[in-house]
Amino acid sequence: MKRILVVEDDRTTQHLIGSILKSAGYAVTAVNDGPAALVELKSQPFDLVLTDIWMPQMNGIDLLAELRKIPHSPRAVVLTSDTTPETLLRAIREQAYQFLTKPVQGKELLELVESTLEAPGEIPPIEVISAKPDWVELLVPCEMSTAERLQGFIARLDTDLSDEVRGAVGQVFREMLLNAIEWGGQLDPNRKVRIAYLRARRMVLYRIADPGPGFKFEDLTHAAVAYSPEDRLQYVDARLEKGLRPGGFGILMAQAMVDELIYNEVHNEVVFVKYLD
Amino acid sequence: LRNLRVLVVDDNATNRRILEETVKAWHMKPVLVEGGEQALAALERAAKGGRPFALALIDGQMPGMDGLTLARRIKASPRLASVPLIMLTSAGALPAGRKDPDLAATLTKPAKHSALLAAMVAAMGANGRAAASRSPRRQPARSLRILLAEDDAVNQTLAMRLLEKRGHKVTVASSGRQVLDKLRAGQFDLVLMDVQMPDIDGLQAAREIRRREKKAGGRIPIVALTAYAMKGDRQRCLEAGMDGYVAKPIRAAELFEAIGHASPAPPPGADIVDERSLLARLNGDRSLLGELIALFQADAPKMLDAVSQAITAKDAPALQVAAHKLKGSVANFSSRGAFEAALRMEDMARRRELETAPAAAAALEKEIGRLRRALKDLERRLV
Repeated sequence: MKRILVVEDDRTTQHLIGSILKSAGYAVTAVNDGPAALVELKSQPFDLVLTDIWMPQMNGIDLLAELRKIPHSPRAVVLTSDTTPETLLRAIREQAYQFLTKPVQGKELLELVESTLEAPGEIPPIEVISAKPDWVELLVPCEMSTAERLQGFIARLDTDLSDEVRGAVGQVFREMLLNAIEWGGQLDPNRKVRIAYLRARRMVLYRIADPGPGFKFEDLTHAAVAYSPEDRLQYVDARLEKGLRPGGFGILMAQAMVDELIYNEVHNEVVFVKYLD
Repeated sequence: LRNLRVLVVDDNATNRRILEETVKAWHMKPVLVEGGEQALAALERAAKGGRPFALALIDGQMPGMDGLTLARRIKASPRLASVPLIMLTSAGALPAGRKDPDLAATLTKPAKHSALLAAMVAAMGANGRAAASRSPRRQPARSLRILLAEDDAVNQTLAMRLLEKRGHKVTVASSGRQVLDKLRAGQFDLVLMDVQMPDIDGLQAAREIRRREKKAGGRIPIVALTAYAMKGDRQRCLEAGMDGYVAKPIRAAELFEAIGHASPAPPPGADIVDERSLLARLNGDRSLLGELIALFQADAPKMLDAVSQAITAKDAPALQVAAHKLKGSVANFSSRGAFEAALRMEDMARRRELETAPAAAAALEKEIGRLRRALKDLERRLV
């Protein structure tokens, strides 16, 4: 039975989370604050820590920092409500594994806990190079579960944008990130993709640089963009032959959804921009 | 939009694939056909099978039957007319700005994904979230127990699907006699009644319901469903004691509007906590909801005390923490008024502006009081 430590000072929320996890078959220990959490962590092993940010005595970020000092410490999921980008970035720097928005939805909680517990064990961490809300820069291992987590992070930085802009930017980011991890990084967790997110008053800009040698459009037999519109069905066969994930419209889709999409000469770096007005 | 069925009609295989990928990315279920005749067949099959399409995306320029002709044929069929249609055309193919009454939207190819998504959400009208939030009147604050009297299987399924998607509980009757029996046996908030039914028809049934109510008391709202589109019918329905009128084929927007107008006033507190969404968040666990209410009732006074103490002490950081905590606790009950009152207090404290804090505290206390009374009522309904 997987053991989960819940750190939350509001009794109602603590009971809600605890009950839902227990009824899904997890062993739950709940405490009210950081110091109590550290006592529990020293007395028994846990598979996962779920922690609030705002708590008396020691806040969630400080708890994350303490947690990192413990050898083989469990992954931590951070509960957020109206968390500022600064706090989010500090949590990422302190190796928060994932975020869960409050008020907690039962189904979402269980899905997140399950995916966190199931993710492969030895993944190198995400390195935070810059944690300014208007300039975030990260080094990310080329691994699938990390890509999923990263989308959760980025989505929470853009909360003041309209749903339409966020949806478009989020989809393009996902496509470009997966291309970088899958093609540039060959899914090797020891290789890194470098991601920059810049936020200015009238635009959002992303740069994704992968560790691969780049590509030529004419060699992209797996991607729809390499074909003239009449011939694009060939791409389907090309992908099936290679046993690739469904899709392959990534670059095409991205071109239609953002205002600028620019590759460098060798095509291992891409920048895309969405104007805000 | 999740799991909605979308029909994609395009003669070009690549475009079909692109639309398929796009629609799938939004978690909808695309069905692909390559021409007008196949589209009509697919729509008919779906309607007969009780799984009508939520939307059709139609290419404007197709060999054989073109997009507009297909749209006319769909709208001419009573069974299919309720499916919203979006047409994708090449630039310049349709005069700019022209609104075709048969089309929910016209987009120029290649359509931006955001524009396509926005058009799809808008087209699905009353089914879509966007439309529901534009017209709060159509959005019930709670789930109604609806007795649906309709003998035609297709209309029955369509109405049931629309109603259940709105969170209503539906019981079906297929004759006037069944309506009267089921009303006697069970509790309902509203009757949705076809006028033409075997044995006792809808008008007779309505008169009988009103006659019984004269003796027993109460008055259940009755909304007529009728295939006639004559003015006199509306009058006949109202004279029989019905409260509203929806013409067939059923369109979601009209149906919900009529239900909204006819439905009874919600019980006190229903506008403060939404029982349905609350239980959904807790995976349907009623006893857990009861426990959470008990904990909140016990802790709320302490949390309010912390707020007023911080205000008395003019301690903005402490006020910020206290308001934040109360807000987090209240958020568990999806209660908007109380949540926003706590949020305003927290913002005030964050900006270190405490001049109006006492007034905000009074408002907050009032909202928390309303929430606690609503939760008390809800708790009684849970047992």
